[in-house]
Amino acid sequence: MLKRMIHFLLLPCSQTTLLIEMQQSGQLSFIQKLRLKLHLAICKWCRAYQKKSAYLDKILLKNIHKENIEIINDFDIEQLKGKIREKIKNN
Amino acid sequence: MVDHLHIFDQWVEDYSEALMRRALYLLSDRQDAEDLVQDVFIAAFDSYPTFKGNSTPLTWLMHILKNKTADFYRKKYRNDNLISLDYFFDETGSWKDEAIIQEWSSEDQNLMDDPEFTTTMQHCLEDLPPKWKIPVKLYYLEEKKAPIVCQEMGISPTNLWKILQRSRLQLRACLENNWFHIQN
Repeated sequence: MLKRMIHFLLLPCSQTTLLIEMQQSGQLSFIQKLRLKLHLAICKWCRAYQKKSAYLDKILLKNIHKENIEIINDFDIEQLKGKIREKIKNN
Repeated sequence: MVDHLHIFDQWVEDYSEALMRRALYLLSDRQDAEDLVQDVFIAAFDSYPTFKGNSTPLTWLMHILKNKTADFYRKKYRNDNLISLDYFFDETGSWKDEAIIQEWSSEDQNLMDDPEFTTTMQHCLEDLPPKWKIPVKLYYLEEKKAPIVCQEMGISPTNLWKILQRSRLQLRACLENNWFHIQN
């Protein structure tokens, strides 16, 4: 019931999670910041989500450069080099 | 021209693997990645006269790779704009999923350096549909510079936010199922 009232008065949680994305990227306008703040003040679900979301953001940023090293191991890179050389010559 | 060929021969030798790794990472499909890397070299060869040596060859090739990835993405997903949140929210936009309120047991630095957790996270990321996965990866590769990603991928900011939002909701659910073992 409380959840429904939050919506009615402010902003649905489905929209709030979008603002959380924009916030993490530093792209919120003043009004959006205000709406997000108000919603979070009364919605424990979105507060919990925001915390998890920030954590995911941190991990993704940190780990993005750990591209899967192993995926290329069983791939024949020499064969690919051959194909590329062939293509360049015939180009 | 002969000189040009000679340089490229060396580039193919030196950079194929790095390019292939990045392409595989972004596209998650071996055949698509292989085609993409070949296209990158062909394009680079054709526009070699415009390469001024202001950046390293690898940086330049990676830049071409990003453009080619964006072309690939646009061609493949042009007519597919629907992002539904029905799985997570009801018709009023409220959370359907009560698990959201349950805290994660260990949000500390240790977890971030735990290789097993990193692997689970990678699997969850790979499980996203390619339509979302490619922009998400590029967003983080570009260190969260949203306008750059939008420009490169040719998608609107609104679309990027929706993709990030939807992907993160799903990553969260995936980790709760596979790592934190939170019951709904």
